[in-house]
Amino acid sequence: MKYLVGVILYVVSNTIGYSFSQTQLNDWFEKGIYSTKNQHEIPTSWQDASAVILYKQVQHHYVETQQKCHYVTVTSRKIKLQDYASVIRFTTFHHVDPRLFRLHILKNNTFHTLNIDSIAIAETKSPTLKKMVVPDLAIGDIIFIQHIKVTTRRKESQLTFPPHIHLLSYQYPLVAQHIEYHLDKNFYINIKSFNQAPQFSTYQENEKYILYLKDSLRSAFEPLLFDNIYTHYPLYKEQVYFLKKGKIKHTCELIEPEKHINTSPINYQTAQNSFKNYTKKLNRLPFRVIKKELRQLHLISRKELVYLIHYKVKNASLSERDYYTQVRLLLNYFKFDYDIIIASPVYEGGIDETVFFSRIKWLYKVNLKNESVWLMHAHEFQGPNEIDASFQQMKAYKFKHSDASNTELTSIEIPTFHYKNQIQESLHIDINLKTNQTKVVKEKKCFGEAREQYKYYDYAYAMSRHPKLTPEDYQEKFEQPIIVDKVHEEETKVINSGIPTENHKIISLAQTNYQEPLEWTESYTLNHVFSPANKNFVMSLGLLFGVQNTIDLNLIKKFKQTYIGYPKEYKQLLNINIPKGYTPVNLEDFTITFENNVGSIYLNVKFDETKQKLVVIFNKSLSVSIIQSTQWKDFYHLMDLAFDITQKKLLLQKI
Amino acid sequence: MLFIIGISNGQKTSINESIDTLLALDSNRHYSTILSSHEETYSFLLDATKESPVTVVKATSLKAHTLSHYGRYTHFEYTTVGSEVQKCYSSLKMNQAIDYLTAQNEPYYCNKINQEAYGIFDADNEACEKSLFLQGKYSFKELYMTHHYTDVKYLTSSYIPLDVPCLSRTIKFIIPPWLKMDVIPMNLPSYDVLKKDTLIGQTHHTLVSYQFNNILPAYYEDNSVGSSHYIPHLAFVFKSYMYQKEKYPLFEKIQDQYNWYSMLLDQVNNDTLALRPYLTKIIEGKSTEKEQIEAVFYWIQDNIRYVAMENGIKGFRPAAADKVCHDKYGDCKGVSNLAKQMLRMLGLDARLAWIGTHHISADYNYNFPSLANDNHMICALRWKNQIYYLDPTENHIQFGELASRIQGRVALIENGDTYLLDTLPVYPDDHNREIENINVQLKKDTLSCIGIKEYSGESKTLLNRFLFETEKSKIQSHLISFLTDGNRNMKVDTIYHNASNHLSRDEKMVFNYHYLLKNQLIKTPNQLYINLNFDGKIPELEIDSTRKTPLNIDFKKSYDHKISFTIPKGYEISYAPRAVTYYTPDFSINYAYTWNENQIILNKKITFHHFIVRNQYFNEWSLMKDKRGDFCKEYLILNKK
Repeated sequence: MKYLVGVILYVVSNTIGYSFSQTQLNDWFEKGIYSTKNQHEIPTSWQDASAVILYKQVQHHYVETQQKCHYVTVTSRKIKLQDYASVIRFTTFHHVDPRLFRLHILKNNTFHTLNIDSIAIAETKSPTLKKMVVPDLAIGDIIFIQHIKVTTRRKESQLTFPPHIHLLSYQYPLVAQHIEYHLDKNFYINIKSFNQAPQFSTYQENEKYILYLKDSLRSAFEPLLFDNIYTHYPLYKEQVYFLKKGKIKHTCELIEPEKHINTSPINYQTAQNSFKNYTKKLNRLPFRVIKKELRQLHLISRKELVYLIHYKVKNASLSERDYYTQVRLLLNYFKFDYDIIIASPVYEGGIDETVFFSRIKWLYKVNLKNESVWLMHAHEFQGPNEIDASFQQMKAYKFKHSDASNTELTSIEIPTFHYKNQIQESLHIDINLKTNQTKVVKEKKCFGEAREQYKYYDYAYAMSRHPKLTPEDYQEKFEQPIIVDKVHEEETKVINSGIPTENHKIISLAQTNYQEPLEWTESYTLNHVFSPANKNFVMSLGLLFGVQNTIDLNLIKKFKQTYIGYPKEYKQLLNINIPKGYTPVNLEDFTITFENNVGSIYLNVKFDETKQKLVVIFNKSLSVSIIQSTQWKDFYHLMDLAFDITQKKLLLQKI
Repeated sequence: MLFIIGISNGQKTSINESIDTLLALDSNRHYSTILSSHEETYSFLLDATKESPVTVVKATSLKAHTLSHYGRYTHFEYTTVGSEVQKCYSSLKMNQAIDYLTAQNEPYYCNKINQEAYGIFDADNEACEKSLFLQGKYSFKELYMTHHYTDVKYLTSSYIPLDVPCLSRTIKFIIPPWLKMDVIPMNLPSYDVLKKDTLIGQTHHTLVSYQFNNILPAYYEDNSVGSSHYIPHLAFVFKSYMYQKEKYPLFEKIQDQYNWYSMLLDQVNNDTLALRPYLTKIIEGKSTEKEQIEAVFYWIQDNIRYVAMENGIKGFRPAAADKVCHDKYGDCKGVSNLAKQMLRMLGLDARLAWIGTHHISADYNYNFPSLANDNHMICALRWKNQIYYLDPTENHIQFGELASRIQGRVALIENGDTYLLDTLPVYPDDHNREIENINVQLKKDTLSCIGIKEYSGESKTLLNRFLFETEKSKIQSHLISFLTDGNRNMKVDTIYHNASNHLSRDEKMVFNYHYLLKNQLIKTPNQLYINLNFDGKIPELEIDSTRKTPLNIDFKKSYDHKISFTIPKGYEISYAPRAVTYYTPDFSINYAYTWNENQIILNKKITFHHFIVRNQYFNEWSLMKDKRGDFCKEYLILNKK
């Protein structure tokens, strides 16, 4: 009978999704609230903040039971409400499971715990998730919020939990926080702090491994324009694995399970060994077919051959992993000298700081006689020597393919594209003052990174318009010039703020030669360029330069570095036919030469009276991809000036 | 056999042609499915032993066709308090009718649909959906769904347009001899309606049917008024029922509706003793009645947060005043009830009043009894031979002021066993006002501007509410964005304002600010070209005029902007654009330059005389926007003397 009751209780507890007794949950809640009860002083500079997190405690428990593995997070926050906005914010809670949620209020120095059932809206149709309304909340109150999250997985010989990145700053400023990981003995963790975040300390207690981090005085997290939070906000990354004894396999070897806890980065030796596993899959069909095709092209140069290998393998629509296998087989077959490079992007903090093995990219550097060709698989249109901007200038490790037993890694910096001449536009402009219409015919060429970006946008746009397409479908159906035209035309319309494109023609798709530009022409008509001034006209010449990104006016200062994508240079040449009987007057307003640490702007206007033609040259460049905090002022001024130019007006005076 | 399970070729062709004809009427919109028929049948049940004796079963049957090779039609059944979907059948195969003899109840999915699922409003309205997956152009499937209303009073209307075009839409009422009901057509003039009344055999039921052909979906656009203003629908009035030869009222008269409301109020146990300590503190130091009334009204606005939990009967019954006071939150009924109780404790004649906001068409306004008449509750105070209306959900509003949304609406006011109906006053156009005075001077080739901006009425209330609910640390940056309207050519250096959490309700909100203005001036050796139209956009004028439905601008308001430019020494005016004037009953505009030797003044006035711009003025709206646009673009010219 006892057994039967036990079985029933077990079934019931699992049916409602609970793996822990209420006593266990209460115990976690009690420990959480106990730790938050200390006094916490708010720094004077935060008196104006909407709310302040006085203390935050997070406990991550990885628990092994007979048949399951549980991941439990117990979060306790103590928050002081300092304005009405925060009172409103903490008045309601949504989709909350009352059994996994606790609220306490400190009001006028009196601490009381709210009865969760009485503040939940009983009529909600969801059996477990409720909406809650906190009564009698006011400015000055301190609210304690506790919740528990439980994820349960069936126990297998090995389990990989998802990787997590945890920022140490939040919506409100924080006085102090304490983060803990409690791991049962068969769990392993790969964990590391970044961007000046404190590192975890460890100790062992009753067969459990415990890691903890103490942190204090964090300003509020405010995501800003151009920010990549992973490059400079204090954070830590972690990934947990479960390994049943004696069943260790390849994936988990990467985290050095014998140490249980690995607070150092990836083991590159193991990464190199994993290449050996790939080479076991040598004789797949695409390889044979491609090898046969390429062998027939016996007259091509070594460099062209590398390019062909890249395009042929990519067009075989292989996965990223298979791409690397196939390319490597072909490089071996044609006896190329090449290095294998492992790198990680700027937003992962670089190769030395990568915690998640899955985020590491492989590249090949093929060493030709006078130059190197870099091969990388990032998106459908990436060509040889075209490296994703987030990898450029990053430190990487290389090792020779020919010596698999050599585990010595040498470091290398991934090259950057030259930013010069990436975007070239030539605009021919005709004006009809009677109808106030300005007809623009634009010829545009994109090279390098800009070319890849445009091609990728086309692809992404087509995919978003046709969500059922697979990348392979796209290759087949959309990589025809005529269809690309249509997709690109629609996309251009979006870029030109909804102004319909009248004519659009792709001149070159630049599919096989990376030195060729992606080139197209488009034409459209603007009707907001001219404003009358009695018999004269004021021309918003700056509008013809296109839309300019702007920086928030409040962001004059910045304290952290900013990753802005890739360096670039735009060159515009405008040939404007000025209507007869009018002459441009304030040309001196359009002469600017500006250069600073991060880029340059050049604007020049000349009027050819005999041809009645205005020739405008507008060049702007950004020469770096990462703006250091000391360079921010320069960047701000550059962007502000570029925007100011788009606002400039030219007077056409009636002669 | 083929004829039974499918449709004959002749039928197919005829339906396909009708579908094509209907779609041609609406070529701007694209549909993947269409309904050839949609029938709603309402039948009524009486169980006198129940608290709500009359219940309703609404049966919907429809036939959906795909217009391309694949299509999915989803039928939504909207349930509310005391109503639920009961049966759901559909065709088992393509082009096959439902076999009701063997049909099995099928699953459907219900989700909450209140507009602020994550916000401060919660109700139990749900959308129950069932999808039909269709394959092959013009192929069809049928759906049958029943929806049970446990109380007839919650069934108030049926809207004619559906989500997709419909060739034939029928609404039928099988009215038993014991039920007396009315159907009131609303916004129907453009429809060709066929109404039939038929007596059904020995049961003496009357079948009343409304048939509508070629129905296109309604337009739902941004900045629209409530559906009842313009979408065709039938409003239902269930008057009474007979039981054992006795007549029992349902909602025959407004009095019946009031009786039910009044009964709900009787169920509320207000503990006034518990309110006493709060009240004592609130009126501390307030000696006059007016001061005490204001203290109560403002304390509720400032301390009770609007959180609505409209589930079940709580959508109609106020929460107890002491609970609202303790919890510091409540919905419109809860806060109005609290105001009523506190004011009564001060010996004043305060009552509750039900009212429909402008969201509901004025055709309702208690012209007939219906729960669709109102969506809001306020407190009515009879004081000094006048009725004052207090809406405590309108944070920062002054005592004696009314929000636009309830101006001109009819309130149903408590009056013991009976009720009072009173129409709320309507304020003049310029009550809600934004005044701006900008002084522009040319200083060393740069335009330097000093601006003063004043807000009054609802314009002020809204802005004050926004600032009150904004995080303290973000107020300054929000104010700059607000004053410049994101115009980066305005470089603001100083702002002084009286906007704060403690702004007195009878003060105007005033901003004083200074900024430099870029790219608005062209200087040649002998001339200055300047455009003084650089101040913020008028948000209402940003709305596209190519719309189908009335344009909701929330409340009547006037913008009164004056920009003065001091003529620099040695210059005189050479050219100024011509004035623009426009007047319609819904809006008017007057833009004009005037000048003397020292100064050029641009006066810009826009007034919205109504809270909506009606369809008949869309042409004028469009013309006005064009003329104004042309005026704003033009430059002034000043010549050197």
